[in-house]
Amino acid sequence: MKTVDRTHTWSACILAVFLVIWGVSPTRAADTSKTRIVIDNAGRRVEIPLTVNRIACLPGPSYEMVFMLGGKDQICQVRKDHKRAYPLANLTNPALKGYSSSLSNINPKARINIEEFIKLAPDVVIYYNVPHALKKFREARIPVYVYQPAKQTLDLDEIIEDQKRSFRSLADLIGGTAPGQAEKWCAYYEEVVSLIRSRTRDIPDTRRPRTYVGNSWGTNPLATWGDLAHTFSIHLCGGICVTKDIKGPRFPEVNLEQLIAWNPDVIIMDNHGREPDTLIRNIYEDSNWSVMSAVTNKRIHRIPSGVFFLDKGSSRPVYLLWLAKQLCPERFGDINMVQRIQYFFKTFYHFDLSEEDAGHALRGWDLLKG
Amino acid sequence: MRCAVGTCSKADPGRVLHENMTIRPKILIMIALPLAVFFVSLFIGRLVIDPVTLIKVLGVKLLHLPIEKDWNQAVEIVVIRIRLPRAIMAMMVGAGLSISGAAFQGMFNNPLVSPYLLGVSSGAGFGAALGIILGAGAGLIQVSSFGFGILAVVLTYLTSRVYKTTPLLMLVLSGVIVSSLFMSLISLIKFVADPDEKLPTIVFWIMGSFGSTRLEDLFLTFWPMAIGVTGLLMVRWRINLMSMGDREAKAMGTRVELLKGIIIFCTTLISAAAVSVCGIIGWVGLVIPHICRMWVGPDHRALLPTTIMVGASYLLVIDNIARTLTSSEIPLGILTSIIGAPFFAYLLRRSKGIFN
Repeated sequence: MKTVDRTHTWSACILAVFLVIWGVSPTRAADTSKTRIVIDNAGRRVEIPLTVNRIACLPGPSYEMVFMLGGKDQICQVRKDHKRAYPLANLTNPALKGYSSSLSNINPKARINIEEFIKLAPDVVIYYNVPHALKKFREARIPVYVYQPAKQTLDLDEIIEDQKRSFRSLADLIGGTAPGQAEKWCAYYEEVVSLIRSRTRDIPDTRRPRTYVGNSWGTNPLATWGDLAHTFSIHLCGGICVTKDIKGPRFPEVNLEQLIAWNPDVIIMDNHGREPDTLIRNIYEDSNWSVMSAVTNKRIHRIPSGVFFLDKGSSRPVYLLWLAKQLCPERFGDINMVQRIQYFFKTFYHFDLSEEDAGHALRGWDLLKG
Repeated sequence: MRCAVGTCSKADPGRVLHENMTIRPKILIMIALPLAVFFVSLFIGRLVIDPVTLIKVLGVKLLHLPIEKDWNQAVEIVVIRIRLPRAIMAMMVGAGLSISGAAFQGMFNNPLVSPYLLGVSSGAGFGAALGIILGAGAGLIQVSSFGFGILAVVLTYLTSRVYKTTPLLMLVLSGVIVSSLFMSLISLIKFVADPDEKLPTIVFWIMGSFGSTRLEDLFLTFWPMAIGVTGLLMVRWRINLMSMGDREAKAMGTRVELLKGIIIFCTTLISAAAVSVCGIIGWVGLVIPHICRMWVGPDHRALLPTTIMVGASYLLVIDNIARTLTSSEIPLGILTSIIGAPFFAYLLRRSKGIFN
């Protein structure tokens, strides 16, 4: 009988200790009244602290978007390439060099070391839609805002709506003045799209310049894009994308014969990788490419430089204006790109971009010499 | 499993070739097949070209016939600088990998052996991945791939040396070790590579493609291939002795170590050149020798020339599909298996596994 009592006593003690630990645990102690819900890019409900002070920005344009929305002082982690690959990022935010990028040493889509994130103690992590990583974050009770541009899109309007939704939900996450900034950006985006659409919608397909987008990340300009974002942007800006029917991997390769058969009038070269200018120069010097209209008419253009890639994230309005001017110069002759890019940086980044630097940016800016 | 090989009579090779290929039409088919496939390949592609114009272009550019030029420059570039070098390259690689596979299967006396057994593909793949991640240009990537392919086989060879000999089992095990090492290094590079930037390039490269073949590449690839293939053809009757086992070959007066060295040298040259120019194309070097063995028998004097012809034709057909089926390139590594596996299964069932 005595033994039974003793067993009960020990059990009660262990239970009491467990309950005390459970009760004082910092993660359990979180008061639900001090949290709020935001809907992330993937449509998930994310519970975050009422005031978000530490944001880890890991996917491509996440740093640029948070920074533009006014979350500069809340950023606690960026990717290494955010700090070194875009000269305009450093110009617009001198504090960028001081941000930690310790968690971007590994392939972000590989297995994550959750302890590193726990040590970082972010209020929220902006991350990719990678199920195994999301599971680990959930187990560690770290809120994750998934950044994932819409994959299945039917038209440009859907992409635009998705982008506006991204900015608005990210602004909700940041709080403060961010929602106002997001609305201002959305209005500007709509204004730019309307302007371009009003000037290009009457161009028949037969008169639209055939346009090819080369991906300069590798060494092969025959690698292109397998998604529809470029197809829609090119159509909005008055062209027709020659790779519009390719639905394959992210960076499918076409062969030179196919490209000659398409005979593009304009080639747009991504501003990726180390040497887009070298790639473009090699194309001009290569006699195999010389039979294409884009080469004979010297219409190969490198996408300008932004705080992130100009064609993605917050700079898309500027990119669309630039693209329209390249594809239909006769319809957009009045658009002064230097002034436009200066206005954009002044309005959304509160940064006075000099005329010289605007010129640098429009020429693509050498990523390494920055 | 011992591969059925022919007895090694002292009859002259030419006569044995005829004996094994008892039916003369087989020889004609063997010669006509690659020529026909090659010629047809020039007519198909994503750019529609009138056959008459194409013949005229070939006549003017290759035979210097006095024909008036009534076609645009694009047609000439596509036929002469894109389709022609690509077809030749596909044939060279197909022929090279097939003869290497046949030689290795004979030397190791094992039908499961492929030309990549000693680690050349993983070494070359690592060299290419290293070049890509370091931002090297296309030429440097090719050189790096070729160099590491050779290095991998040298490492395998040195690892397997025991008392100045290289027992086959040691070679195989060393090949497994070196392959595994380089495959791990490839995985490491893929792990640290930027998922948006370098990783897709590395993956696409490894899956194999002739998409960026240029006329100039042919000359760079031709010499190692030519040396390797010629070397293997010169020792092909001795491979019959090797396939009986080291001891038997030695008893018949063969300098086994020297012969092994020659075969490994030749196959390495061929495989490294092939992988460095078009990525890792599996299946060809493993299966084409089997298909040829079903057709002409196991005697390497007939088998090796046959693998050249059939391998060249096979890879060219596969590449034609890869470049014409859709507007984007389909990686060769996928097609060689998807098309080759059912075909081989059909032949295997039909022959009931009897190779002779």
